[in-house]
Amino acid sequence: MAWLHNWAGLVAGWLLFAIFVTGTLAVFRPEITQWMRPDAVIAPVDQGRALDAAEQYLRGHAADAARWFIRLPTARDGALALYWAGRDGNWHDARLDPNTRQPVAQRDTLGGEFFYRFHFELQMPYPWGRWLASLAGMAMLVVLVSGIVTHRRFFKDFFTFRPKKAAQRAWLDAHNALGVLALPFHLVITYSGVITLMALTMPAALDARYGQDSAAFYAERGGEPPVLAPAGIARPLQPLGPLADAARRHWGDGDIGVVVVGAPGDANARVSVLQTDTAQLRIVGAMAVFDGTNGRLLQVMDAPRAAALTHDVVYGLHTARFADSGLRWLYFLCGIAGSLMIASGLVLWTVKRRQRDAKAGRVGVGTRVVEALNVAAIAGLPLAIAAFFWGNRLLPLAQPQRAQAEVLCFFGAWALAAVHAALRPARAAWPVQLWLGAALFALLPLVSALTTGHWLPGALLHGRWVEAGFELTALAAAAALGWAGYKFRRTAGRPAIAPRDTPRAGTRLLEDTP
Amino acid sequence: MMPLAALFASYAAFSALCLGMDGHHREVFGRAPSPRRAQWLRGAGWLLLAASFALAVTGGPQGVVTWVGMLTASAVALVLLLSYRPRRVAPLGWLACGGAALALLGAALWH
Repeated sequence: MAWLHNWAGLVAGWLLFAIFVTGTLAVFRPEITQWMRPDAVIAPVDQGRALDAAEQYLRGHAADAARWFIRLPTARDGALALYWAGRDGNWHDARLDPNTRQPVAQRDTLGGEFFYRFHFELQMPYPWGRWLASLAGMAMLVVLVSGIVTHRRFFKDFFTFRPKKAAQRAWLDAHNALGVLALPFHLVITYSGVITLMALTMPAALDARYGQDSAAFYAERGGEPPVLAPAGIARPLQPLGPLADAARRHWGDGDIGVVVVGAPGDANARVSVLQTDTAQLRIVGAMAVFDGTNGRLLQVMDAPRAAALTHDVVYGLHTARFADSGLRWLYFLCGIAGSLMIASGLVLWTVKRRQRDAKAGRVGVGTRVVEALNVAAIAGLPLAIAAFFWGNRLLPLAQPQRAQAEVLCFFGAWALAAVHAALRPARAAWPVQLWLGAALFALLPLVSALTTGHWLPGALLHGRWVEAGFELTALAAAAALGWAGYKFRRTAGRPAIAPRDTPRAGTRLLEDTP
Repeated sequence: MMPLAALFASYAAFSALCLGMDGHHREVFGRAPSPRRAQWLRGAGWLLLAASFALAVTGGPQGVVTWVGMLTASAVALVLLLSYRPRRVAPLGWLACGGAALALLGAALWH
């Protein structure tokens, strides 16, 4: 089992670290987006007025669309998000300020959406990124279970962490403590993560029963807003406001999350009103479906059957949309614990390997390759994230393809970190990259103040909590990275053997990396 | 207030459970606990843990999820304290007990 734990953990570890870190950031997706769009402040507005604004805009701009998708403003995101599919199947979108009913004048950025997407698509074309993320998740389950089996003193060492002992002991303690103390989170988040992609990775049951017609499955399962093919007969669409009010009464006047209109302006129009996903553990709330031509209530879906409910709750536990701000921070902290557990496991592998190499009297190429990849994956990723945020503030607002340019900052910085890690010995590369990441995060509030005029003390004084929270978290990240760099530098003198074959190992690394 | 009481109670629970172990008791007090003291600490720990769960359940399903997160947060905080400031473990454990009681009192008065 130890063998399985060590090798499966090593092979999947680098990818899993990136998945865990970006997933942790995705907990605060709307908040990150809000920080990355500092140009306009949207005053909160009640849902009825927002729906009116959406309806007016879509009737004006997308009257002949095949489908409207309206996401109403929430406490976390004040903008009104509209998406519509043309008859040709192409999707369009607009973000409106529901007060002015005009598109929000904001810089072009993916915001927190970037981390959310990367978390399960890894910036790869469909379906390859999802497949790879799913395989990594399955490997994580294997590593977790084999880790529990390997860890013989699970309860005896429950509270044990001895940072002042020898490197291997200290790293092993940290690895065990991070794994054990946050184990409920690790197991649930990993299992539920694999479940979120199960229709892609385990389609056998669906294929056997429904063949290629997956839409039939979702219609039967319930929860998907129905969209009928247009009948080709024009019929005026009922006003959406009264339908939304009627729907809301079915779940005790709770908030609405999404309104979907299929075939607006056609005889087959269907209006589906979905309850907000913040009210219950399961990923979807209740839904009411109306005939769009006469406003008749067709069905209310509130209580899914046991299997669907199980799936929806497991899914909901992963995305944590139900969480209030306190629980979101707990998810965030547990995510950091998971990331650090993976990172410490990867470092531990090289610490052990170094000892074996010291006995043999020479540093193996494998050790060097793993060390370089560790630096690039673990120290390089925070650097890349900081570069992404810097790009958001420093790229010219009028630059074409600006959102993509920000993403380029992320991958550019990460690639440079990888090259640096390949060329320099690990003990030199660790502190440099960690400190550079620390410096970038530490200066982020300053860069933001100079480019947008919003500065941290002002945000604190005026109660702009999202902005203040983001920048304080950046400062905390800077402190943590700086401390880690200091630790690596102090302990770096200890290895028995200095790697002499560095440049050659570096070039080898480039050949070995896919 | 209830979540706060649950958080304090879970921290106090882990403090007691931790001090109920010979090795950790030695780190904090310089000697192993008497068998009765160890038994008492472990009993109190499990009781506080149960109390913490009972407090969290009042928050419904989301309260239970929050409770699991609190267990991790309080255990991590305790482990860090034990490693870097072992002599603060006992006073902070008692403080957490007091904090839980106060938060509970606050919740009762609030209603």
